[in-house]
Parts: sequence; C-alpha cells; structure tokens
Amino acid sequence: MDFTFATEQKFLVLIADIAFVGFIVATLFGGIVAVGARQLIHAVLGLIMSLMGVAGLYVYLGNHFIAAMQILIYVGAVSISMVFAVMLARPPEDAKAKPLMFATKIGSGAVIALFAAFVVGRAVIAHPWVKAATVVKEGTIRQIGENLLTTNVFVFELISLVLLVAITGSVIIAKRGRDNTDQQGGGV
Amino acid sequence: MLQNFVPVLILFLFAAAFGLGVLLISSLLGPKRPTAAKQATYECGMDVQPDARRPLDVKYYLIAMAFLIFDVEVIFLYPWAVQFKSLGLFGFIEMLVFLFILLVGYAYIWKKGVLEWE
Repeated sequence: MDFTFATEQKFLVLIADIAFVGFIVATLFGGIVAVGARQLIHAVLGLIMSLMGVAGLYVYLGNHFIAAMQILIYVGAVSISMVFAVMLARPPEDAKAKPLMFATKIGSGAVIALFAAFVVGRAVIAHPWVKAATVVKEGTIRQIGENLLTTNVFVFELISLVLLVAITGSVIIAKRGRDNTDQQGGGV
Repeated sequence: MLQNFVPVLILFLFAAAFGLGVLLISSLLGPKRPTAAKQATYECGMDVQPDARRPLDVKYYLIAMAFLIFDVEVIFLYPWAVQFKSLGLFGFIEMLVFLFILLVGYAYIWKKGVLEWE
C-alpha cells in the first residue's frame, strides 16, 4: 500500500491487517465446519461463523451497508430460519441417506471448485483493472438511501409488496401443511 | 479509513473474551463433585421423556418467518434513517407507505392467529 499514516495510525492499520487475516480464517474455517459437521446444528453454527467472516470482508471492501445487511439478514434471519428448519425436520434416524462414496465426494467437489475457479478466473482476466480511487467514496449508505427513496422509489414500494406476499405465502403454506398433518392424525 | 473500525473490532474481541472468559473461570474455579443425579439430563426437574430430537410444531417456524420478514424490513430503514434529513418529508411519507404495506401483513398474521399461543 502506498498510503502514508502517522505513527499512531500505523499501529491501528497493522491491527486492521491482522484482523483481515482473522476474517479470512473465520470464513474458511466456518465453511469447513459447515460442510463437514456430523451434527446438523453444528453445520449451521459453522455457516454462521463463515457468514460473519464474509461480513467482515465486506467492511474491508468499503461497503458497510452490505456488511450490515450480511449480519442482519444472513447471520440474523437466514440462520435463524435454518435453525428452525433443523428443529422441524425429522430426526436423522428416520431420514437416513446413503452416504456418498469418498471418490464421488472428492470428484464432485473438484468439479465444482474447478467450475467456480473457471467462472471467477474468466471474470478476473476479462475485467479491465484500473487503479481504484484511493479515496473510498464516503457514505455509500447515503447514496443507497438517496437512490432508494428518490430515483427508485417505486421499486422501494414494490419491495414492501414482495415482503407482504412472502409473509402471507408463508402463513398460507404453513397452515395448509398443518391441517394435512392433523388429518393424518400426526403432528405434535 | 479501515483503522477507524479498530475500536469496533476491539469491542467484538472484548465481548467474545468476556463470554469465553466467564465459562473458563467457572470451569477452573468451580468445585466439581459430580454425582449420577447431577450429570443426568433434566427437564424442569424431571427425566426427559422422549428424545429431544423430534419435529417441533410448525407455529415456531411461522414466528421465525414473521421475524425474517420484519428483519428484512429493518435493513431498508437503515439507509433511509442515515439520509433522513436530506430526504425530508417526501422520504418520510414514502417510508410510512412502506411500513403501512408491511403492517397489512402484520394484521394478516395477527388475524390468522399466528401470534396466538394456545
């Protein structure tokens, strides 16, 4: 980096750099736990760790709104709904799936990794890299707020309609499922 | 720029250290005299009747869905709140419309008895 900092700032920059590595480790370690855990709930916890790490990386990319969104929606809401899904699911004794062969696991993992590397690599190579503006645009959240409520205000109102549809839909589907289990004499 | 976030990081570390530290101190200093009764899993002082891993009632999931929807709502309040002054009255009314549409959803789940816990 070609920034120049005062001495007391340099120490903070060092801490920020160390924390960057920490976030990467949290992301990767959480991901490995999420894939490898035997207990489903441990996998969810690993995923939460990974998502927290990604939220940290968003801060380093200078987009604090996305970081806040990541924590609020992914770590907060999506993970909660996953925990609830685990609670609602049948115990693993009932739902026994045939485990994949080791070679199949490695093979499919390698194929997916290669595909992802190919897609990302193409994008990286194709992108005309210019030196980023050294001053990170201050207040991206401000811009988002400004755009959301002036230029794209119609879209903004549509978002609330989409959320309305989502909430009514979830109630309707859950209620119907509930009635079915009642007819079968199941249900807790 | 990023070094301005170091205090936030320190706060996170303190929070994590406090949580882990309390557990560690209690395991180090606490007396350990285990008996069979103390080691047993219990549920309101009684033995656990069925297996803990069983499908739970779907109404828990409905509450979770309601939480999810209003959690997503909050994320849209955030940029508006930051830019509140310059957006002025127009933005305020826009946000009221936004909130009202979601309030319809809230009224719906209330009417459907999702929030009731018989």
